[in-house]
Amino acid sequence: MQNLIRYLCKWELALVLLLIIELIVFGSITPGFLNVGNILYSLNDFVYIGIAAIPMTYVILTGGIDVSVGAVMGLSSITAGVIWSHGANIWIAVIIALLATVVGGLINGLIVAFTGVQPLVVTLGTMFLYSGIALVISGGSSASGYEGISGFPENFVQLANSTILGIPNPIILLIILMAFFGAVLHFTPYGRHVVLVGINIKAARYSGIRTRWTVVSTYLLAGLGGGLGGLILTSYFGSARSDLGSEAILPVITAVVLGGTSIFGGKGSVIGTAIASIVIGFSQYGLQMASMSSEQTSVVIGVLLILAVVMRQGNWREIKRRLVSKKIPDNSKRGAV
Amino acid sequence: MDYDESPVLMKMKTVFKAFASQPVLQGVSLSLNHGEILALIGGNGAGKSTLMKIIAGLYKADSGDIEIEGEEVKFSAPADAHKKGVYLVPQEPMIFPNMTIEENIMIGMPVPPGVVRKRIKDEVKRLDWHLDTERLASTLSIAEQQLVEILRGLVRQADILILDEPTSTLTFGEINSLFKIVNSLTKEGLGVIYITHRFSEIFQLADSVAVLRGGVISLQGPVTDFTYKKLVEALMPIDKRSSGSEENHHSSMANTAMSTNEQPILSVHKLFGERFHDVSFDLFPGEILGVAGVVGAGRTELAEAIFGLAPWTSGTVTLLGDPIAKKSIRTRMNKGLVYVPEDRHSHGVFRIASIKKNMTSTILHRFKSIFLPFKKEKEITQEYMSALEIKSVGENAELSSLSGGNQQKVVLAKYLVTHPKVIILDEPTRGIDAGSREDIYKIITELQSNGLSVMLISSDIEEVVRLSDRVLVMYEGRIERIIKKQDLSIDAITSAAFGVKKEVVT
Repeated sequence: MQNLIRYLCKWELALVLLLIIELIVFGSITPGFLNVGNILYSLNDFVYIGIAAIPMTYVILTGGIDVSVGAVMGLSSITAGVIWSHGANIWIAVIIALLATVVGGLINGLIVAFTGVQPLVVTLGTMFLYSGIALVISGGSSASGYEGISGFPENFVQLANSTILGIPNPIILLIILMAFFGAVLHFTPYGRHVVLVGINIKAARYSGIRTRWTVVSTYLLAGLGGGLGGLILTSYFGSARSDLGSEAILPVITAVVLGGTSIFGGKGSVIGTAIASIVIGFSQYGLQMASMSSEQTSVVIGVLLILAVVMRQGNWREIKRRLVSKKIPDNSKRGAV
Repeated sequence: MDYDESPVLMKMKTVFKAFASQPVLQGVSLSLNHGEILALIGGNGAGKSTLMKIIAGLYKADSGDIEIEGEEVKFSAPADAHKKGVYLVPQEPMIFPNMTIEENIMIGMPVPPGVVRKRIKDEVKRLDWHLDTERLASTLSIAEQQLVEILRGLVRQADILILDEPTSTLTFGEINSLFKIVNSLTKEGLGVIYITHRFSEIFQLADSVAVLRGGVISLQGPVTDFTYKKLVEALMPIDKRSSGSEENHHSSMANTAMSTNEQPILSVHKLFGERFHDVSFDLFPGEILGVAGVVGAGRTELAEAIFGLAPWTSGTVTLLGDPIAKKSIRTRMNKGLVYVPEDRHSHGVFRIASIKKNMTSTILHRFKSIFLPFKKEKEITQEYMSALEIKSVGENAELSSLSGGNQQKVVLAKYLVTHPKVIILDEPTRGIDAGSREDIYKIITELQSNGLSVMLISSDIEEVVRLSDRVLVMYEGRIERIIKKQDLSIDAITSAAFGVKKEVVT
């Protein structure tokens, strides 16, 4: 445990260091970048990544993945918008939107836990399903995908655009989520179950842990995280769109993996995810400031993801062996007799 | 095939093999003639598979020679063995379900597809099999898959076929047709090594028998020289032959005073499942019930069904008077039933978690507080670490840093912390060192003296004899015999485990 803490601290410190280096580099490229106000408010632009990535950490901890979370963001945004535009109270619309995302997450979880189909395939399918539903809903209210629904009440728009003690609300939400999910993961029986299922789901089942329910719950939370992220974005932009967050999935998963969570499950940290989401957000923001297109910034994020996975999880001994040995013995036919 | 020069097809001399300084083969010498069917038998862990894997090029022998047709060979991969005509048909056919039979056979052959196709056609015709090689492998029955495996070997022009318990998954009719094929193959000069647990097949099919025991061939000769009794004797450890009954006074007799009117704590009645049939027995408080049998006899499947890991098709299991068919694993554990799995690595341990996290994994849901009671968790872990003498740097040590024996103790502790009343141990001492083995025996007898009921599944017959109050012997998914304490001997268990009827032995 002490070793583990030391190890995690090291990785999280490394992330903080990476963040500082990043800020210095962007500061030297773009004059005026290094300004407390600018930094705090630019955080608002990408805090939704962290909000979705924190619950996603649980999914990846169990050895799964949920690529539908970007579609869920759009679904929550347009659901809230359409329900409000039909005359409902905005807060009721928000609650219904969140419920919709919970149901979306539940469907993901149930399919993954009860059919044994790979999570990537399942959530790839539901990604299309949810973004399709979002489009249908938005078409039903004759709001085109790009204009969206706007004109929300001021108190909803202020949700993401005002500050408490000088700190923007979305950042406070991120910190609350980080503290909550971090505490649940490390200090509660449920969090321990999530980790144990990720280490060895069979052993977990033999230990009497309700492995299916544990898996389902993580997808449910990931759906909720996507919903919260989508609503924060809706409030921040003041408009609801069905394609909101459609490009979020890459940075969200990168944040979890860069944050130190093993893609095979069993090992990970919520705090790491939160810091990594900020690192990624700043790199997107900073590169855009340095007049790079969003396609070009995707290249950077992609490289970051690959580097993080290789550095943290690459089997170095195996890679070395393969590079050194000319011929790999032919065990393909009778490998496991 | 011409084999006029010498009848000897393969010969191995003093082959040694050890895994992690644990000797498995200690000088095995074996020979196989053209056209011979050699049955190879041996208890679990006798080294049959290791020996066959050496012949098939999957393992390298530490020392010793193998000659094929008078020529010394050294294999470093299965492909080398294929070139020399050695082909191993594994126990479970390894077929790619989404490919046709033809594609399955061709895989990995460095020969143009046209040539292979012709060879397949020839072989199928020669053996008069009715097999459409364009069929998808997923449509094949297990028996047909086995045929495809044999075809794979023949198309590779195998002279030596090794069949590893080919009949364990076959039905009666399928077995007969397999035997016919094997017989017709040997007529053409092929040598077959036939691994089996079933004595009846030996007398039906084989020309000669070799018994592997304790890493050496203890007996080899033509099948006509053998009787059931002689085979059973050859399987038994040398120093234990017909002296088994003296062994069983070790375990505490004090606890075995089970009066017949006592209520069973676990009662299994006419239980049927995929791999076990018509199983009925009672387990009484404070009793150690040994469960013996060869690998594949259905013991683990039975235990997993009782624990709730797999359903059974009919029958009842009652725990403390309540039927448990509908109960979840967690409920069964809460009622006092636990199962310590056989496969420690995949079912027992959380490798990258600490000892503490491993041990409390079974009782997390019993902590009623919102947050984990870390202090209590630590106390429980330390208590069981000292009680079971688990050697490590502390409760936070990662499990993978422990030795096999200590890992096994952690797995045991993980289930003991639930305070069970019935504990099913599946191969509790497999693959651990002698010291830990004794520790685990001590723990088991202590559990018994604390009133726990133990179901001890083990392939180590000495272990079963030493610890058990009663022994249930399974054979082919059925209870072959239940042996009482006074009749307990290695003899009795071995013959029952191999399906030899009592009257043949005595």
